[in-house]
Amino acid sequence: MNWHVVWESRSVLLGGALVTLELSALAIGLGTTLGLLVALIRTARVPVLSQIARVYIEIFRGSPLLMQLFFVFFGLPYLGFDVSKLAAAVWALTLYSGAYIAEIIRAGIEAVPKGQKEAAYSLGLSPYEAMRYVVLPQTLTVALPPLIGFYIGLIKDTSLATIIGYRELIRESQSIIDRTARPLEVFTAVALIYFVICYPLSLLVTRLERRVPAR
Amino acid sequence: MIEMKQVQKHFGSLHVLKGVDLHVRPGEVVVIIGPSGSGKSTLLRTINYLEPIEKGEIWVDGTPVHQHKDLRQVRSKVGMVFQQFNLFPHLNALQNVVLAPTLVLKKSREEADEKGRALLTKVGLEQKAEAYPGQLSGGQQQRVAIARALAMDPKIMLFDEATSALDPELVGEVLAVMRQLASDGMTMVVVTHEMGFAREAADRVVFMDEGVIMEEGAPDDIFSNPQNPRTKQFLRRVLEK
Ligand SMILES: Nc1ncnc2c1ncn2[C@@H]1O[C@H](COP(=O)(O)OP(=O)(O)O)[C@@H](O)[C@H]1O
Ligand SMILES: [Mg+2]
Repeated sequence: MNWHVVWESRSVLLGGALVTLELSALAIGLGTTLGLLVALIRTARVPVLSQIARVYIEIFRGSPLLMQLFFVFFGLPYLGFDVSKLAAAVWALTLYSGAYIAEIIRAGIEAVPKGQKEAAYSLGLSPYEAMRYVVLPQTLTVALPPLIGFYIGLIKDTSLATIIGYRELIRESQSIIDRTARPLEVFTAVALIYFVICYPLSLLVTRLERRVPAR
Repeated sequence: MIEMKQVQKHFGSLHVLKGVDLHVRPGEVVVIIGPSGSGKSTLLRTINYLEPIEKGEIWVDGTPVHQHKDLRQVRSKVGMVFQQFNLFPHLNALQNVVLAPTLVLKKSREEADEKGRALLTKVGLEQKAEAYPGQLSGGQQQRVAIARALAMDPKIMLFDEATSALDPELVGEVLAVMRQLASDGMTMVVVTHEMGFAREAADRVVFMDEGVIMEEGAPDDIFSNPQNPRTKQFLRRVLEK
């Protein structure tokens, strides 16, 4: 074992880690926004839009993320859109995660008893207010643990962006390995970095699951 | 105050309300009794449009509810108390009470809080303002739910088996609050199996069966001298227990 190579490449590795974090944060933020929107459309049974939402969910949950990355990266330029590698990776990860998150949130919304909405309506709240102040806060306690679980998977999935040449953590480590021929050391370091990013989230899930209030 | 004319409603092929006429005067306490499945809850829920109707008319304080107009306004005038309380579990007692006044009536936080605490005091729960529903007994939860409905200054209060989900020893505290409301002059429509409450607090008792009003009248007449054989049969069964 030669840990010296890892130490020498520390700035490249940390740079890769930051890029992975950036990509993850964008995908989580945008994917959650999209997922919430799609979940609301589906639960409100908005005609047409609701059907479109269902098709979208089926397509993006039913195909490998890798294919989606290829499609966005090679497909959009083909249609005349100029996309950077970052934009392509963010788009693909957002569409992919939006589909899963929509279903997680929808399950959370549907887990809230019907009587809650009725009580809100009977007090004169509008459908928007009932959703915003009564249903969604309760959805959160149910949906947060699976949601964070999905985020952890998503952070790891950002490594797939390496396939379109995006310089995130895995890509950077690959080039270090090419230079140093020390795959074991480098990948151990990479695994450690992923662990440092994901472990706090795992802890959070455990804490939240213990905290979900009894009804 | 409430005027229902020939109200009809189906659930699929099930004819639940078969032309109901009901008239409730301001300040009147109407108690609806009848076997389970006879359409009592459905009738109550049509008054604030939780259930839309197919035929007939419902006027609440001059507003045609059946035309699906000014729903928010009608609902803010009609308080409803549910069998399962339906308190918002993520909010404490006071927050449950002030949510609708701040959102719907646009009251300031201070004004809503002050009124909310006064209402919790009225139902005997001033000490529990900061407690969450999960920390309260069923009877306490139901009293918070009553305070929550009253916070909108409703002209009418609807009660759907408000004590049916409670342990027997907790029924009394909720009925006491309802009696107090009745004697304060609130217009009330109460679905209940508490015949004692019906006898003492009601101005009028309505017996409902199979989606129609079979008989109605003053509590003394209904309980001592029912005319309809179905009413007789029902009362014999419930009063035996
Ligand atoms: N949302 C619904 N969908 C289908 N059937 C319903 C629904 N709500 C009530 N019903 C049926 O309508 C009938 C009357 O119900 P309900 O008004 O709750 O009676 P009650 O309150 O007198 O017990 C029952 O047969 C019940 O099963
Ligand atoms: Mg009922």
